[in-house]
Amino acid sequence: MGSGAAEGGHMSTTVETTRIPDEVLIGELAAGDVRCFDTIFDRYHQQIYNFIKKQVSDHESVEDLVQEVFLRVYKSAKNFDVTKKFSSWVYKIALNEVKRHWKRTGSRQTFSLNAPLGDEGGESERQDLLEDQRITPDVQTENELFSQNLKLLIDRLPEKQKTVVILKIYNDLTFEEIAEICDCPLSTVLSRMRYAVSKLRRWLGIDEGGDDNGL
Amino acid sequence: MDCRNIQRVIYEFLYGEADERKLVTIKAHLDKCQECKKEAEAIASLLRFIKSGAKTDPVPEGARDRMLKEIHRKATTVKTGNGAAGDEDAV
Repeated sequence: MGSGAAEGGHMSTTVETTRIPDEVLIGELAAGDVRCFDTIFDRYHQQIYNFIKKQVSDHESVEDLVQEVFLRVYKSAKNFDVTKKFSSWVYKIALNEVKRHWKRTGSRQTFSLNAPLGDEGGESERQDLLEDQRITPDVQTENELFSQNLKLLIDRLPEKQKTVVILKIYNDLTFEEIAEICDCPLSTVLSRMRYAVSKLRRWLGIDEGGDDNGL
Repeated sequence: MDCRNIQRVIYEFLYGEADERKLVTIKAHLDKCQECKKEAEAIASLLRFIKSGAKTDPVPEGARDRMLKEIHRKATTVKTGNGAAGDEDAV
């Protein structure tokens, strides 16, 4: 997260505040210390970039969207609720920005299934693949293929389920944080996760139960 | 807790986010129910696999400085009243 130390430019104005909590930094920014903004940006721009890139199909827009997210952070610092977690707030802004983008462009991140799962393994083999921790060259090739297909399938998930999967698996947030970002109860987030994984398992042919409600 | 209820809390369990009370209950159930245990392991395997294939897309070279420069420019423009409107709908 947030490297760029060697990139010069604004780095010289960044406050050395690696141990200062985000919430304090945003408070300082709200009070007028703009140097704190660069520190906040360095802490979060990489993960927000990744989050947005996984959500939108036109990758050339990602940089603009990240920029817009942090401009909103900058301008809205004084509106930050100090009882909330800053990371959840910035992700919430990012999610709203992504939704605005979808609305503007009428699209979300979707890929055609040009490379369907097909029959390159069979159910039992796929199951073995998932559970086999040893990586040999051949297995690695199939692993990569499987992984690519899995990404395509994640992109096909309903928007809200996909957002939960991305925030949980790729961005390592807790379910509580995701609930705050998505503005919904924890139980809803857990349901979305459950339905999403159930769908993926079914699409992959590894869901023996074949039931959305199944474990 | 029966099998149907376990499914509602299994993800908190797998990610270590279940509270102590739930943790004890889930563990007790998985110890005696092989079917749920097998399912939980299958889910955990899939989640591990997705995670293992997750790569970080590095921010393109120079983008950090570009974005920062632009944000500061726009923020200053707004402050001096020459730019966009306010930002009440930010979140």
